[in-house]
Amino acid sequence: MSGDGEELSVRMARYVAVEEAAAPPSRVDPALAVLRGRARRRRRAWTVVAAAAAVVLSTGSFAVLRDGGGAGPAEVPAVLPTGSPTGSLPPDAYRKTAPTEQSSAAPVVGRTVLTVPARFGWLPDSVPGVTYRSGPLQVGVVAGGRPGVSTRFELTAFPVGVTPDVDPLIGAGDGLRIDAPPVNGQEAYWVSSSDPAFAAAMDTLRFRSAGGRWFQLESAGLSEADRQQVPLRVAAGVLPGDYAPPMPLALSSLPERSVVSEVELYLPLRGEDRWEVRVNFQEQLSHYLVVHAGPDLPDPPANVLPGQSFFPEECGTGGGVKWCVDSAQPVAGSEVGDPAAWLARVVPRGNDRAAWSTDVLP
Amino acid sequence: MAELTRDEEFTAFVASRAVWLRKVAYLLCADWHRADDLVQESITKLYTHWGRAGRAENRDGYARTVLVNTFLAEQRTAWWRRTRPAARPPEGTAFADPDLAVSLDLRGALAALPPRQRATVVLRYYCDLSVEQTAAELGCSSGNVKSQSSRALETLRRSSALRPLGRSGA
Repeated sequence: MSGDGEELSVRMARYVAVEEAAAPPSRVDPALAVLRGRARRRRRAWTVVAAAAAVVLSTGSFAVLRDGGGAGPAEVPAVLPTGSPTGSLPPDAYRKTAPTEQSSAAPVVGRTVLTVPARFGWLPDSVPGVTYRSGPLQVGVVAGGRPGVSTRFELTAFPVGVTPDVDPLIGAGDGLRIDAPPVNGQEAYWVSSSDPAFAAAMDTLRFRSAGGRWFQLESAGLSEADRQQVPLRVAAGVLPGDYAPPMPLALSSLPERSVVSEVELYLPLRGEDRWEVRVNFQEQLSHYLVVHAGPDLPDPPANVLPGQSFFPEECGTGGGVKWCVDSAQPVAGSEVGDPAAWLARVVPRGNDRAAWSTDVLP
Repeated sequence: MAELTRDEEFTAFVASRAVWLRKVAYLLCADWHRADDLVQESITKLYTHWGRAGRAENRDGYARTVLVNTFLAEQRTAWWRRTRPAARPPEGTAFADPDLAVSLDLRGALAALPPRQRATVVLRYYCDLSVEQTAAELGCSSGNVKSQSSRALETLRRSSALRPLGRSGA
């Protein structure tokens, strides 16, 4: 190590020590990691089974399940007006007209817990479903990308008024901006790198909406022939504007000092997959709970399921739905963090999406 | 029962390494709140791949690699990269405590480095990894680590982060 390297090593250690003395208490929680990790493994297991079932069903079944029965691309059937209780699908449920753009998506607005800054329009057939998510690390929409599905499109938005630039260093090379064909007549460019290896694996398209907001679409799992044309078509179909998807559950009450910390909703585009919802709460700012639900169907084989839950979990079933509450830190003799008490608050809305609503909190 | 052992083993490992991982994360992002988010996301990923981590020769190294990759992935995908951490104080500011001056200088200088250079510097000079070990953790060549380190050190030399002590704010 050079002299400067040694000096830097000493100064970094001193720097961290000084900063740590004034640092806030750590929020890192191994128990929460186990809870979330379990949920991810569970979703992965479900998708592997669903993908296998899809292969067995083959394209003949798709033709029955899809509107019109053709082999055309999928439209995301989720264009209900934001904030309105759900009745039946409105006549323009498949419209592609962009709604008025709003400011940056807020994770919780009124009774709504999940709001994303845009949604997908056209998607290729290889995408089986779309995940809407809002949490501390990301607010956005992901199409595909689940285990067993290589095609993936991740859509995020830059804050209103921000014009993104390209990082000076990407991978081992310099960051590059490469002009892309306009998307709906608006400016667009690819983010790439002078490092050939990194550039070969990178498919990031940035495009501006008619309202001026910049979006980023990251693609993966596309063939060389599709790497440019398909993302451009997906981007052209994006519907900018805050969108709150109707949710399959609600809470009848909420304990004091409880907040929503993360929400994820997976909706299959076709009938072969299962919808899933997960809403994470923090009670008293210290007790973590995960409310999750899905269709009440036979579980995947035991060899791909996680074993006995490490944390107390309470589940209920009814109306074709199974819903559960996992608690990381229940307190004996107290309702704080008690999964049973939380389970009693969960109001499932069934499998019929027409009965779902954006209203989740009491 | 095996699952219970697995979870207990994971929880014990993370509980003993969380402070260390948080420091590394802080050096990468210069914000304790974000450092907590990075560590939380990293240990969640670590849990989902705990079987693989258990087979790794160096479990600490595996955890650190997950953390660094999570940081770099966020830089690529999120708009966080636009919100650079607080940079240096105004020129001419004098500090009686030399440690505090060094701290602020280094924070500003590290924040000015591109994310991958910052990660290289943290792995090489805070975690004391060799060029080859750093290359393995970042998934790149040794030559790349050398060039990243060289660029970073040059930038830090030009800043006040590596100037001799006793002249802070002079």
